[in-house]
Amino acid sequence: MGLIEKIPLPRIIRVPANDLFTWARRNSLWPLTYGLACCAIEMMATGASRFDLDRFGASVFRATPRQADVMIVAGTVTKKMARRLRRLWEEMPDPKWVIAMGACAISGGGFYDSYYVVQGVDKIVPVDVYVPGCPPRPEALINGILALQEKIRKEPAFI
Amino acid sequence: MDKETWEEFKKEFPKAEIKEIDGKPTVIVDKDEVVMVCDFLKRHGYTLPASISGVELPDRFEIVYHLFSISKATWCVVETFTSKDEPIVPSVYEVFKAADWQEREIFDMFGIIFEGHPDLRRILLEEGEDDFFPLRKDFNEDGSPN
Amino acid sequence: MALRTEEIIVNVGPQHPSTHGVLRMLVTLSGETILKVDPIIGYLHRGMEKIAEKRTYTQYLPFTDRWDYLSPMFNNMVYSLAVERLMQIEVPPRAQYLRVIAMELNRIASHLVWFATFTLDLSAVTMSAYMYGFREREEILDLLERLSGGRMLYSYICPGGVRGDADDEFLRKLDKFLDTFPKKVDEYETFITQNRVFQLRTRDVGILPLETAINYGVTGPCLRASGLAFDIRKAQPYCVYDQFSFDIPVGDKGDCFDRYWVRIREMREAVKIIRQAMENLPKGDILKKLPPQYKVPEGEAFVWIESPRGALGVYLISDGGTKPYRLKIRAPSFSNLSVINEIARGMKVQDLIAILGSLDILLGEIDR
Repeated sequence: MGLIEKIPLPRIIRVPANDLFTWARRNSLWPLTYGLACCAIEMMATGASRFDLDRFGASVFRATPRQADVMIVAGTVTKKMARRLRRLWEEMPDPKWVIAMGACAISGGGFYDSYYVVQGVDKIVPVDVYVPGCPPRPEALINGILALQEKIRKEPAFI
Repeated sequence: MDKETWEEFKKEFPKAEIKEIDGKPTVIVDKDEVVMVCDFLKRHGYTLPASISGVELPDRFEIVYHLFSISKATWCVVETFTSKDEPIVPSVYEVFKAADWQEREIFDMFGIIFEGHPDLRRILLEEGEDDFFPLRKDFNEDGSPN
Repeated sequence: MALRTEEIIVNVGPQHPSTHGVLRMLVTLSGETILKVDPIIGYLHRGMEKIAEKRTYTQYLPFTDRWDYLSPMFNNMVYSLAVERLMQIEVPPRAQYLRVIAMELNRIASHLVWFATFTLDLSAVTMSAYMYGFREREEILDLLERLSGGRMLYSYICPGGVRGDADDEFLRKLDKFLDTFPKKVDEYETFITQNRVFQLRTRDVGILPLETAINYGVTGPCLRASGLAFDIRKAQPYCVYDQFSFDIPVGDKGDCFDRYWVRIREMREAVKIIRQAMENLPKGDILKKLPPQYKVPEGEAFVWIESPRGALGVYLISDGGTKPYRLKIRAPSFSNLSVINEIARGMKVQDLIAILGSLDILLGEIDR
């Protein structure tokens, strides 16, 4: 018998429903594959073997917005892409969150005077967590995901 | 190119000006002759169209064709000009298929029209944005038309 | 009763798991056979060429990293070569050897990412080949971080030399890496190259004839896979590449398997070059310092180098000031992608993903 079977747990555990739902949601965030530019490669490296994102439950990258919880906007958003980004966000079912990864997604980054770059993805969709860097290290992205998990823990699960 | 080919070139295109810029032989031609010149160079070994670029000079537009000969490992550059009021240049699509996308990009960025191009539409910017040519020097940053 | 058939247009992208970036393709199908592929690009157009006209030469160097963000050393290199040619600067020999080491390490890293995503697209044992590729790449990124300070985007090669020196610790770690890496490549070969499903999916798929490739301006591994041994490092050597001995892998038919095979062998050749550069590394300065704002003499320069994707070139026109007058970027993936309509016609839908993966495009440099 393993160790956990020896702990005298009661047969019924009572937990506030809010906590149960937020625990489930924050530990199984399914990101939408939304890599646009250089930050996408760091996002891929975060999901790879050294900085394993799977241990946080967030490694199942879904290609379709219908099955995703969090949209990690990794890269520069251009005016041509902005319409599609908004549409993808609208197609995601609630509850959904957005992580803006990288300087370009936060505020336009080095392209502050470009004629075709949207100065920050929060002009198009509401953002929950901002991860600065150009590109942010995988550790920084993991920090961002943990911050999002903390935020979800404090949110009310039912409206 | 060797001397004989240059002689043949000068006989066929007497009006072309030949210079050496950046260590590469550069041929400056009229826009009516640019397709014939590219065809001549392609028949004499300059088969790889490395780059077709558009440049805006103070008084006119310039199209620069960088052609490379793989067998001889040398360059030949062709330049042609067009005025700013009527920027129309014949397309070299029949000679080099690379012109398909390269010329579409020059059209997108500068507004230069390439006659004879099979499908001249915008490639990088969104379709339907008239009068929005970013690489022109008088381009307005706020996006208002030139 | 006569059957009626109709063509359908399927939209692939811009958000799609296997388009390697934001690429949209309008595929006209008749049943499962492709009739026409129309790639639509520009979803990552950031205006790099216009920004160049508004920044000084020093300020623009970090932007060059972001053209082809998987091989930033090459972008820095071609930009620095163009500026150095106009300013007629001589780069110190140690800097040239360090440049070669940095570029070849970057070449291996870029080919590893290509390998990881190509096999992922073909669903090679779901994610495992992807993990192998990224595992090796992390070691290279550690080395490059020790050399330049950056993990993925370096701005390491600047006009005048390089911005960081290689200490003994770096050379020791590099030596260890070069010893263990070829065995890793052998590992990949065991489970991918001889794999029956991989062979069925890539042999005779997307054949690119040599004449078409040259006419479209295709360069790099895609051209070499079609049978022509053209490599700018041998044809028009730059930096100190004429001092090293290495082979140029060539394919014969130009199908997806040949493009894959050329890149695997290129990784081995890169290891050879790095070893030769490391053994002959001269001592001395690494940078001929330039002031933060410098004027470049009037003139124009077209420089091209061999990047992992093909011939990356820069056409720089200067009017004598501190900012470029016109900077045109000759991106290899731009020309390589334009040929997809020719080679995907007549293939099936699933072959389109294999062909797109084998061309190894990067939207950052296509859209600029």
